[in-house]
Amino acid sequence: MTRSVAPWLDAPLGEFVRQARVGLAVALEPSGRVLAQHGFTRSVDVMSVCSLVAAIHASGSELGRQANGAPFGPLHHSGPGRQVFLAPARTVAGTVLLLAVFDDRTSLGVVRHFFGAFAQSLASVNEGELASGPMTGDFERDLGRNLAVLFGRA
Amino acid sequence: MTAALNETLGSLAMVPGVRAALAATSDGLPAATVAAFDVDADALAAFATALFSRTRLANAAAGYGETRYLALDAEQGRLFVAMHGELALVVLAERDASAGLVRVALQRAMRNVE
Repeated sequence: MTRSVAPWLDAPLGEFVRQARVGLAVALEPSGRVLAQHGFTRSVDVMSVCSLVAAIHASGSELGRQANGAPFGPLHHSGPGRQVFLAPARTVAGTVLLLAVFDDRTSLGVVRHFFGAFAQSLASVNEGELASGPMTGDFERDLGRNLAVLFGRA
Repeated sequence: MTAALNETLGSLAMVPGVRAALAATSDGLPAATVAAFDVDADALAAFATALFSRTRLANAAAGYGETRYLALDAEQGRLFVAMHGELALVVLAERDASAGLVRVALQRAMRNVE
């Protein structure tokens, strides 16, 4: 089940999960604040995944700037049973990171294709919709409240 | 490998009625394309390989063994896919292209790039 704290993410993330056939997905801010998730059953897992993703994205971006003159693009890691895909999507207000975990029910090419559609959807979200977002500027409070909403405790 | 792949795709594109030939990795990423028109190589590689993988599962479930070749007829043309190991070859052809000729060309192409 896909749940979000940002209404403008509901449809794009739900469509991405359905079409790309990924098992787990998390959308978050680069700071690590979770915005939406699909497939996780424990909030502690989402919290640790968001922390790791934020760190990976920050490291990769900086490494890209130093080695490549610009942040690196999407990241893909493949394991024996599962793979992860991590990529940034732009909105008028900033960046949303999407992490997807998938297995052999789909493929990197399919996930990448539907990430493109997800990113396009987010690019067309206007500032008014984004302004109705859940962030107050207090990281811990936002994170705690967002996790509570995503897991039905608020 | 890239030169051999391009040469192989060029040969496939010479088959009468063929409009595009594409090589892709088994996880759906395009490796090389030869096309007579503007083709979305990313989408084609992603979906053609996914389709082939699903077909392979269906054939295995049916007890038909290894899947070597996939052909699809559509209103405006034909799609052919062959896969071996980590490499897939995808051909887009006109509606009246000879399936037999394309199949032979695909088999030959697969041998060239193995």
